[in-house]
Amino acid sequence: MRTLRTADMVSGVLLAAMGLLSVLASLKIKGVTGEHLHPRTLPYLLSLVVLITGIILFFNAWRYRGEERIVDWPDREGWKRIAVSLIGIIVYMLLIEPLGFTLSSFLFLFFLIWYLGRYNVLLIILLALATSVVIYFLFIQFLGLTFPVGPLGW
Amino acid sequence: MNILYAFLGSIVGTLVGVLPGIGPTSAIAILLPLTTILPPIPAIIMMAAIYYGAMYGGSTTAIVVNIPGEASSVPTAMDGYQLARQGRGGPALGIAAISSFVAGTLSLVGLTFFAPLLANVALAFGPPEYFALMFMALSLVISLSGKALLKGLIATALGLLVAMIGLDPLTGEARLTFGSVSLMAGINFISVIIGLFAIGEVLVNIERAVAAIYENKIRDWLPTLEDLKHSWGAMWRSSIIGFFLGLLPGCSPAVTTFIAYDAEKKISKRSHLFGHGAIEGVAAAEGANNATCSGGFVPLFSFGIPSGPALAVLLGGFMMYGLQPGPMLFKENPDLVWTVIASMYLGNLILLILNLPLVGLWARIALIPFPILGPMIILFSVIGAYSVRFLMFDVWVALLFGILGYLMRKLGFPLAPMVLATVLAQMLETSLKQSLVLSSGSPLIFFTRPIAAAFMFLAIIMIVWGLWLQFSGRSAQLAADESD
Repeated sequence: MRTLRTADMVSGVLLAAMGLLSVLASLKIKGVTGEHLHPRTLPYLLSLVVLITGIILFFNAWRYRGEERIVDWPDREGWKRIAVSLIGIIVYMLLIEPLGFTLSSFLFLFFLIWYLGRYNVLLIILLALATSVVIYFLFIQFLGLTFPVGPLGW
Repeated sequence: MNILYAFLGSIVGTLVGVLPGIGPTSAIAILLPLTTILPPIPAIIMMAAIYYGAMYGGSTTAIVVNIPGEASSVPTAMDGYQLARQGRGGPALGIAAISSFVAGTLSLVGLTFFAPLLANVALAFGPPEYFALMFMALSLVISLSGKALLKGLIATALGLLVAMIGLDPLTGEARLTFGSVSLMAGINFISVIIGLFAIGEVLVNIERAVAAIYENKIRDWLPTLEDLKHSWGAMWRSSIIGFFLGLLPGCSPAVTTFIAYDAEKKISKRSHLFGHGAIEGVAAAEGANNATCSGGFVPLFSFGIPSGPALAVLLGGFMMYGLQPGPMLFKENPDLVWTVIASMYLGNLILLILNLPLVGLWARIALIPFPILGPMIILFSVIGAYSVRFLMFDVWVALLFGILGYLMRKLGFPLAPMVLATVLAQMLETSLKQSLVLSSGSPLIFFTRPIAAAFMFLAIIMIVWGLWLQFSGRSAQLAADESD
C-alpha cells in the first residue's frame, strides 16, 4: 500500500468485490414486470460499472511500469493519532444517546483537545465547557433542535 | 428584516469559512440547520449569504495560513500567501474582498438577465432534456477529474449507487438495503457531504499534527492605489471568464479559478511575479471564484441543477423547504427568486463593507490552533448530520463517509463527482423513468429531440476530451482532485 500502484490494485479489488456484492443484491430487487425501467435496472447497471471499473483499475495498476508514486500515508505517529481520534469520535457517538448531547460533547471536546494539543487541563476544561454551554443554549434551547438529552435533562 | 438575515448569513458564513479545514461546502452543510427555524424567503437569503461568506472566508485562510479550504482557493493561496509572508497580507485580503465584490456584482447583473431568459427556455424542457442535461453535468465533472478520469468515473458510479439505497422513488421497492430498516429510509446526502468534506479534512489534518499554523507580522492593512491599478484588469477579465464558465452545469469554481489565473498569467506583463506574490493573481483567482458562484445560480434557478457540491447542498436546502428550483420557480414564486437575487446584491456589498475593516480580525481567527479547531469541526459535523432528520444513523453515515473521504484523498479519487452524483441521482432516475414512459421504453428519445440530443452530444465530446487530456498528460493543472 506504500505506492500508488499497490494502493490502486488493492482498491481495484475491493471495488470489484463491492460491485459484485451489489450486483447480486440488485438482482434480488423485486418489481413489477412491464415497467419501462425496472427498479432493479439502474442499481444493477451501476453495480456492474463499479465491478468493471474496479477490475480495470486493478489491471491498469498491475500493468503500470512508470515512475513509482508514493502514497502520502501518515507515519507511525500519524496512524496513532488517527486511530485514537477515530476511537474518540466513535465513543462520543455511542455516548450521545445515553449521556445526552451536551455532556457527551463536553467529554469529547475535553478528550480530543487534550489529546491533540496537550494544553493546560484547566484551559481545556473551560474551553470545552464554554463550547458545550453555548451549543446547548444555541441549538437546543434557542433553535429547539431535538437532540438526545441525557438523564439530567441536557 | 431580510437585510438582517443577509447580514447574519454573511458574518456566520465568513466566520465558518475562515476556519481552516472547512470549505464552503461543509460550511453550508453545517450551517443549514441554523436556517430551519426561519420561513423560506429569509432562510434562503441566509443560505445564499452563508454561501458567499464562506467562499470569501475560504480565501482568507488561503492567504493568511496557506490552507486553501477548497480547491478553488488554491490559486489564491499561490500568490496571496507569498504576499502575506512579505507582510502584505492585509492588501492581499483587501484586494480579494474588492475583487470578489466587483466580480460578484458584475455576474449578478448577468444572473438577473440570464436566469429568467433560460428559465423560459427551460419551460420547454421535458424529462428527456433534463436527463440529458444532468448527464452532461456529470460527464463534465468526470472529465475534469483530469488524470484521475477512471477514478472520477468510479466516484460517480459509487455516488449514484449510494443514492439508490432505500426505496425506489416510483414503486417503493426496497433496494440494496440488505434487510436493514435504517437503510430503507435511504442515505441522506448532507451526511455524505459533511463526511466527505468536513470529517475527511479533519482526519487529514489530525494525521499531520497540524499545530498552530502561522506567525507573521502584518505591516499594512489596506491595498494601495498601485495594487488596485495592477488588479483592475484582472478583476473584470476573471469576472467574465468565471461567469460564463459558471453557466455550464458541472463547471465548479475549482476549475474556473485555475483557468482565470492561468489566463491572467499569460497576458500579464509581470508574469514573472506570479507565484511569488502578484496581487493581480489574487484578484483574478478571487474574481473568477465569486463570478462562478453567481454564474452557478443561473442553472440552479432556471433548471434546478447545481453546478458544484456547494450549490448542491444549497439545492438540498431549497428542497427542505419544499421548493424545487427550476423554471416553475420563476412562474410560481417570482417574489422569492427576485428577493433572493436582490439580497445577493446586498450580500455582496455587506461582505465588502464587513470585510475591509475586519481584515485584521479574520487574519487572527485563522490563528486558532488546530487541536482546538479540529474537535470543534467534528462537533459541528455531528450537529449538522444529526439535525437533518434527527437520526443518529445519519451521524454514523457521516463518520463512515469521513473515513471514505480521507482514503479518497489519499488515493487520488476526486470527491466532487461523488457529491454531485449523490445529489443528482434521484432527479436523474426520475427523469429517465419519465422519458422512457414517453418513448414506450426506447432510449432513442434522448437522440431524437434536438435539445436533448445536443446535450448528449456535448456529454460525449466532454468524455472524449477528458480521455484526450488523460492520455496527453496536459491535465496536471486541471487536476481538481478536491474540487468544490
